[in-house]
Amino acid sequence: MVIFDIFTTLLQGVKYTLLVSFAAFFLGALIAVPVTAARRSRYAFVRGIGTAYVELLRGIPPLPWLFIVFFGLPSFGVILPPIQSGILVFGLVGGAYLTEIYRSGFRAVPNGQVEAGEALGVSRFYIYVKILIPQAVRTMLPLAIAYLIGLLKDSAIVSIVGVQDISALSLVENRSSSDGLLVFIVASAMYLILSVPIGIFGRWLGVRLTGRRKRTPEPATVTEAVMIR
Amino acid sequence: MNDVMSYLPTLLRGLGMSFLLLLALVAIGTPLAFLLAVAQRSRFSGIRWIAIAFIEIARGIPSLILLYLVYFGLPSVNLSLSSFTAAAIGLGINYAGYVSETVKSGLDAVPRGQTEAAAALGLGRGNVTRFVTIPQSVRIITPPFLSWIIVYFQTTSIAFAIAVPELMSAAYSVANANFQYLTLFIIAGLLYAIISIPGSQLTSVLERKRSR
Repeated sequence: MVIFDIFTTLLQGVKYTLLVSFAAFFLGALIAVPVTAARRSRYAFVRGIGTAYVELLRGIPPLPWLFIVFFGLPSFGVILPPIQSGILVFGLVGGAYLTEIYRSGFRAVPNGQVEAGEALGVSRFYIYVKILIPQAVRTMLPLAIAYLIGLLKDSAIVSIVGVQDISALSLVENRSSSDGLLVFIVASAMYLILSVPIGIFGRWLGVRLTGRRKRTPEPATVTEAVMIR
Repeated sequence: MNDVMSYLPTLLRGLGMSFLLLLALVAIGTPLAFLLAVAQRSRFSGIRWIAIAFIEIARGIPSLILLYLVYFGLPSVNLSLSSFTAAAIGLGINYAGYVSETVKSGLDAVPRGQTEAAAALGLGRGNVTRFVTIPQSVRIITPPFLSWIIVYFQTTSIAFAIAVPELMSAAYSVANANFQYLTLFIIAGLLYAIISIPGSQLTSVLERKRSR
């Protein structure tokens, strides 16, 4: 069975696809915390830094970032292997997109709630922990999951700098195979299959958090979050 | 600095090619997106399902794999395309999958009363879509549509992987000759940024204007 051989070969790449996209997602989720805080700061200068981070990281596509890190940083003596470069780049870029997702979550909470908290003398810290975050998470999580699915697909470009993920192996397999079309169809199917459980988890989470069967945002690319403004 | 001036023309030629690719993929993808959006609203469930399946597949596959599929995969069924054509088709299909959702939400936003009025005046279903629904939805979808064009301007960078001589390829070939990888990729990155950042600002201004 040719198709079975292709499948088992490409299966070797799944762990790298998952490693890069999940590690980048968690790194991005961490980076987005201080950047969101900066963007919501009361000092214009701090807000400016947050805005500059988001605009610059999203204004340059991931591939140039990847090349800057992988080919460019070694001239400073900073040599990162392909996997680490991929995680770093998508973590930094993801930080910018997840900042926008966090912000849209906070914006979805009516301002009256914050004002009520302030009127009752609740500290800014407790306003976040007890009032804003629990409610904002409902909007954020489904969007973040959609972003993770986008990351799974966009992470394919790390194969260009040599990560042996599904995409890289499909290119290798294509050279030795007489049926290139079949190889890439199997690779496509693998990405679709990987995103299905994440999508189901996201939908389940959406139902749990909002208590209604709302259609969760469809699988997004890294860039689709441009729409979240 | 003199160095930069010496290779800037090469990079700008690459940028020109990126624009050309963007133009081609939008020209292929936009009519396809409208077709898919209209098909999703069809009376016939068969047509609806075909459209939905096409959209889900077009969006579910990474853009890079779509490029490989068209460029490296199709020759095995005796269809060899140039790298530019392959990139325009691959990215065009990908783009159509996303944009069709935008178009569909625009079509859905046209009030029912409008289509009912047109139907009452004796227009057929096809004519209602063509002369009533689409013209009105165009105004609604313009801002998100522009965002997608900016997104895909950035996505043209991955056509590097199938050797389309666009901006990234130009930067890479210069860097391979003078070993200034960092400088070259930063300049290439900034060229993307000076187009995408004002572009997305413009889009959000348009959006705010619309919602007022």
